[in-house]
Amino acid sequence: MTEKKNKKMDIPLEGSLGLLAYGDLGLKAWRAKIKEEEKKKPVKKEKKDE
Amino acid sequence: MSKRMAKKVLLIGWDAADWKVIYPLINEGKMPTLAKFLAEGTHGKIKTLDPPLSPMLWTSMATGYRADKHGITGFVEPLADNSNLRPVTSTSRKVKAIWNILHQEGMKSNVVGWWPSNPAEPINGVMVSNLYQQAHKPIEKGWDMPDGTVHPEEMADTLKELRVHPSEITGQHMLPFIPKLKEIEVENDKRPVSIAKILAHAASIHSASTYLQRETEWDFMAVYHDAIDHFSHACMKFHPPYRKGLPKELFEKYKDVVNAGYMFHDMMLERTLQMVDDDTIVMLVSDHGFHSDHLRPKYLVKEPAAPAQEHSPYGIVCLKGPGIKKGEIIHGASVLDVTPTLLTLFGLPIGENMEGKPLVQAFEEPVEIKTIKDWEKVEGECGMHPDDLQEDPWAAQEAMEQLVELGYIEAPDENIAERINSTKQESKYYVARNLIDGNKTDKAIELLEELVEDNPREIRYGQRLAQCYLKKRKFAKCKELIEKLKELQVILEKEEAEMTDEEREKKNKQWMREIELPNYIDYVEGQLLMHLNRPKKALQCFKKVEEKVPNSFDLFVNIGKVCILRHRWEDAKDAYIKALSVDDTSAIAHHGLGLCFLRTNQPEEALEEFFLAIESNYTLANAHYHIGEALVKLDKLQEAAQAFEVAISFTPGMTKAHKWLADLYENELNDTDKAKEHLNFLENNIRGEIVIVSGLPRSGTSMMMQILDAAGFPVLTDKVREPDNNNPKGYYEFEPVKKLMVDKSWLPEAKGKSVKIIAQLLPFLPANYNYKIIFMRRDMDEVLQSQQIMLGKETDVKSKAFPMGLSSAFKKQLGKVEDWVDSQPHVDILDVNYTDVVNNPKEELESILHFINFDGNIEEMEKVVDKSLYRNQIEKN
Repeated sequence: MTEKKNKKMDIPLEGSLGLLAYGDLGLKAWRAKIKEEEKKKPVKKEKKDE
Repeated sequence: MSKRMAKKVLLIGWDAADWKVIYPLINEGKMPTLAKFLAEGTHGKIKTLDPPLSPMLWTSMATGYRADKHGITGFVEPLADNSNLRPVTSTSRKVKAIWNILHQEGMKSNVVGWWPSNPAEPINGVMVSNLYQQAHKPIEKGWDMPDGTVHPEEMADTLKELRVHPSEITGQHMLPFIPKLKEIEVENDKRPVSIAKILAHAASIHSASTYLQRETEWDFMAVYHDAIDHFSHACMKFHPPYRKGLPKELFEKYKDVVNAGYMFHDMMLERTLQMVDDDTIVMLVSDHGFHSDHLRPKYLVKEPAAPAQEHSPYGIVCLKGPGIKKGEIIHGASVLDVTPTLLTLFGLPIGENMEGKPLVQAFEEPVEIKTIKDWEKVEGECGMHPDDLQEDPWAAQEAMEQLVELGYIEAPDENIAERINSTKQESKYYVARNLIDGNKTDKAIELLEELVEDNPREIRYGQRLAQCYLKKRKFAKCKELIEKLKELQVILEKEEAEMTDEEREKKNKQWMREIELPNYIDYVEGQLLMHLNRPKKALQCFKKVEEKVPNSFDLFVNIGKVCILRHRWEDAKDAYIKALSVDDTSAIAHHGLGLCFLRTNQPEEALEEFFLAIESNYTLANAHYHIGEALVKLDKLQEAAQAFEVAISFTPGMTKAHKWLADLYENELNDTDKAKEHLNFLENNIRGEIVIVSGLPRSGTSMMMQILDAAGFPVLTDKVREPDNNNPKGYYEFEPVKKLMVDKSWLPEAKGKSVKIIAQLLPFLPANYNYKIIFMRRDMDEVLQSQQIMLGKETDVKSKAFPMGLSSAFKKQLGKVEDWVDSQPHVDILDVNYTDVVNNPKEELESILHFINFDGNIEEMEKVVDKSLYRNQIEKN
């Protein structure tokens, strides 16, 4: 997330009060981070009965 | 229209925010945004209304009216179909809010989360209702947003996504609130879940408001946060310092919650202010404070909305922006001032029927305040709900009841009907309290008399009614009601004592509840006794209350007043110091404390307190007068004269100030012209005081005159009527009194003396004197018996054939006299019971000397009381 002064902020996965306090943009950035991390997780294949 | 001060105004509400929590945090550097805000703007305390219930208060803030006008009278209201209760809605509001007025004036408003604001009104702008952030189901089951939560409808989808569900709150979010979170088993302790919910709500409101602030055009924005209030209700009991009796373990776990809540609000404020431009005035307010120190109640009363007991009477108000002073303090603000201030900032007139005033002391330049008769009379579309949606929920409920009675619909479940009825009574009670708070006592009495009749076992309603009677000087009614309430209290206490532990526990749900509601009846009785000039007994009542209510400002002030009357200066000092611990800006308390210092020869300390008093309330004439007295003691005579002059500028009739000025100008300051001016005033206006001994014939009036004579107090008597068997020690009468109805020319002779006048003649006394009436009371049967004997009708006495018609006639006459006394501000009365004087003379005689402010000889007075002359005593079962 980029602040007004073009400073990049780290978005912790666990979130932070700072992000919530940043309002809608902080919330969106955090949720985006969560989604990003979710995509990185390997998809579990279901085992079929033989 | 006056000049518009700001292009935009942003109003932020922090429910229950309190300076007592904020200042220490600012000093520790933990609320840097608010610290900067205060330095760049003005701030002060804002007084709440009674009852301090948030939906009523935030509606008063948004409309400028009290509840009797705006229609929001509590937390809940009945559903339209009478099947249950629901949270109070915006459809119950009867008047325009500020956003409706701005809508009419062509301006755009965004309103986020205001209480109550559901369903959202169709305003010019965006409204997000107070149900927006509520989550009733786990997020996996879907998180719908009810229709009507957002206006306009096209914004609903976007805003829906900006909510934060409580389940999204992580341990990372919670750690500043509960550092020992890992030690808590949430299956057994639900507090972390509650705290997560409160935090999620705050984040939702903030998310919506920051979006709207940035992405929409607006002239006015109002954003309401309830989180500080909820954090405080949940955890203020754990806020440091630790209090004895609290489980230490819980204290250690939850002691940081309140501070963390405030700090989070500071962080949100930082983001909000980042997006505000130089043309915007920002106003931050709370509706009431929250006790955070020794004033936190140890228990909550057993009544609905009991948590409001934790609210303190002063919230916060801050303003900054173009045209607002910097670094100044605001004095005397009230929640009713918010809408008038907002209207003024927009250059709009304020309603003449609005009780509040704009906070012009915060403005750099003077502004012209224009008024309009009534904003409700301004026609045109204003963004309120259409008429068919607006309703008075109680009227709707009554209509439903009628349909039930007519057999058209089924009656609701009995429990529901009871709950609805009880809520209706409470709403009426809140309106009555609000009216009392606004000095509309007559209207409050109307409502309370209905409530007392319909709910005879609800002591609270009776207590308020008794206070109203007192305020309107209906002392007899007040006394009668207090007696009934005391009897009721005994019955209720007996019932409680007979309850099983289980039943009692069910009644006492709050974990901190230790004891029953403190004796508020004693408090009202104490006030009544003060009015009846019984300071010693009044103090006994107040002390009983103080044991159970250790933090009542009004109680401390009353104790202070009584102690001053009794010249117990150190006790009075203690009382006023305690009052100042509750409200350190109170002019009355500073003045009272100053008087104690003055009377104990500490004029410098006294001056300090008097100056603080006039800083809070410059128009307190008595404070200026006592400044004069203190300056005389310090030999600063010129300054003293100035102080006395200020006192009479506020109270021109203050004879004691005129006396001082006459003396100072004549004897010290060599200004004979001014001295003459004041001497003339005294000659033409001084009323003089007359002590009157009164009562029915044969009620002990002669004895009382003899007592006063023995005390050394001047008595007016011509001894025309000589002593006889009925009155061996003399009648002490003054013949001209008998012609009082037609001839008052003898009254100047009575100035400074005592004179006997029977009760029936009292209303004929002219109004140009001050009267202190010692009114003798005696059992009516004894009075009649004594009269019969005096008239030589012993046979009637022996056969107990009393003229009962006479008894009821006398009672009626006494009633008329009581009404007359109650309505005369220049008349002070002390009821003295004949039997008490005979059986307990010392205490009664001390009260009398106090009443007439005379340092008499008590031993000589006691010698007059002769039990052998107490004839015609009637034994009562």
